[in-house]
Amino acid sequence: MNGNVDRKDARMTSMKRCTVALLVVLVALALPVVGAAQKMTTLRVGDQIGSELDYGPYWIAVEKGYFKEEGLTTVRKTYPNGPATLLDYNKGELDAVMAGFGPFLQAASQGSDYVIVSSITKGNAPLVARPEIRSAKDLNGKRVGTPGLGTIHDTMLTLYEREHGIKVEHVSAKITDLVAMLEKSEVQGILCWETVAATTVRAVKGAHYLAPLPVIPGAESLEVIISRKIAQSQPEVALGFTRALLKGMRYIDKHEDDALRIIARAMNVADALEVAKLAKAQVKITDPYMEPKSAQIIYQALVETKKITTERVKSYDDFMQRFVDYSFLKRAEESLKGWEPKR
Amino acid sequence: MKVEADVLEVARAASVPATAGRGRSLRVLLHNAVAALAVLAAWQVATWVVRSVFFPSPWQVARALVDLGLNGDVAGHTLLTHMWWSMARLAAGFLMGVLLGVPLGLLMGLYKPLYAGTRAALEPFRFIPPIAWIPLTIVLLSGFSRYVFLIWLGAFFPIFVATLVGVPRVEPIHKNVAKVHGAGRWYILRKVVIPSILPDILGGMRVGMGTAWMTIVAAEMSGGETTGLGRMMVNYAELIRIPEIVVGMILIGALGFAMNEVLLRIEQRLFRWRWEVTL
Repeated sequence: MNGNVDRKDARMTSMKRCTVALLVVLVALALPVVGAAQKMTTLRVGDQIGSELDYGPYWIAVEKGYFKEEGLTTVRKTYPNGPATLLDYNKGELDAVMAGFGPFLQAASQGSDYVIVSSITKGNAPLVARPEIRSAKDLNGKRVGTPGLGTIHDTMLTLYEREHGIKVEHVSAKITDLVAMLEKSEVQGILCWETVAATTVRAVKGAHYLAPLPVIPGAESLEVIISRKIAQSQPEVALGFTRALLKGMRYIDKHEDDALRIIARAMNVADALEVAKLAKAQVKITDPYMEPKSAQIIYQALVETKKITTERVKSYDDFMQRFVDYSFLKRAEESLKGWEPKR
Repeated sequence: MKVEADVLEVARAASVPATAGRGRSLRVLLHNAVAALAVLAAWQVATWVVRSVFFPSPWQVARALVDLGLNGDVAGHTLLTHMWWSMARLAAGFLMGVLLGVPLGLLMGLYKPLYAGTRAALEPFRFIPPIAWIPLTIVLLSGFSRYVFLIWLGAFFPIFVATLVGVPRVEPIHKNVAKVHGAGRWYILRKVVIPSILPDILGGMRVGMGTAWMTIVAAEMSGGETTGLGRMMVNYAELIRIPEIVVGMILIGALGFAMNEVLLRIEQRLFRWRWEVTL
């Protein structure tokens, strides 16, 4: 009887030991995971409808886990255009924004504060026209749609008019509505961002790229900002975010085909890969530095068209000095010396 | 004797001297001015509390109003042009709402089987907000017609429903008296039914006017045209210039208020008896 009890006790003790050992192992395994999860910083990032290609480096960084490597998770919030994104940013709803250079200038001129950490897109302002429009002169006096008066695309249309000595009626509408408006001749051309332009060329019979690239060579298009608060109080987050985007750019540069496939998946539309391939020719998404000449021309055009005032931002140089900070980008470049993006 | 005294009292009250009437008008004006000043004061206090560069003070908005009035907007349109186009679109859509809403409401109110037989097809449209139609109208319509259609949608149902529910409320005794005197259907419609339901129609028109304003601004915001107060507001929203947006809001409020006042005055003049009921 006693022997039975002893065996039972021994079995119980051994089971307890096993359970304790198992628990220790589980805790030991879970600790780094919990630790890593605690370290992850969430960034709320604002961007715009139909702009997956323009923000390609972001999508690559998400897909390839570059943000995770930096201890970051991103929550994407989408808006109809750049100015709408910035209005929400000003309320403190976003930590980082990807949008057009024009809206950033407008926001700064109204008192908004941010830090441009990187350029992300150049070009990206193709002019698509109806089949009967074969030259710039044909557009004279006609209606041309843009995604909004405050967008960089509206400014690019103004510069296009100046370059060709024509005058068109600027018609603002939601970017996704521009395609339908062109299709039924409500407008004769649209100047918008990719991949909407490529989608239009494929969807509307006879629609074609009248001017695939903006009139200014290497035209600055989209930038990435981070809130000044984060840049100052959490510089490692700003650095990590910039580095992840830079890795994304390098990946696109090295493995364009695969990058386009990743971007096409993010687009989540029919024929996405074909659209992305067609649109890619109109955008440059691998240069993290702003193109100064075009940026200055855009600034000047915005002042001349009274879209921005010079009360708060006195000049282009004043803007560059106060709002652009390449220090994170330079540190990121330094740390990525010898780094090669792997498929 | 008592009845006679009451009647005399009522008669005295009815013949209020002109000076007393003017005094009352001045008092009403003063009350409204105080209420408006209170709103302005609350707004100013809110700007101190919120302390955002994007939340404009009344003074900034006044400056923007003067600037827009004198120099026009960034797209080169004057404030009057924007107001004119919004009003023109609204007038066209609202007029269509009245022209279709009143006869159809009358017809369906008078011939119940017609309403009962079409209700399932007609009523669901009432619950679809005009704004939900915007994507479809962009595909199907262009320019002026797009806005007129959307405003019509907004104005039509309040007017139609007000007319429809007004018809059964016509006093049967009035109809019967007319019948006894040999009046035909057309005569009863013109001389009994329509005058009886006019207050309901005007009430519906006032509600429809409010919906029409809400619709026009949303429709203009959707784009496709370069003018209109809604468009102007969106343009400035895109330039992140809030004072000009508030100017647009104030103008819409003021225009809507003025138009409502016109309808109210018409109602007060036509149906004075309704306005004399007090407690």
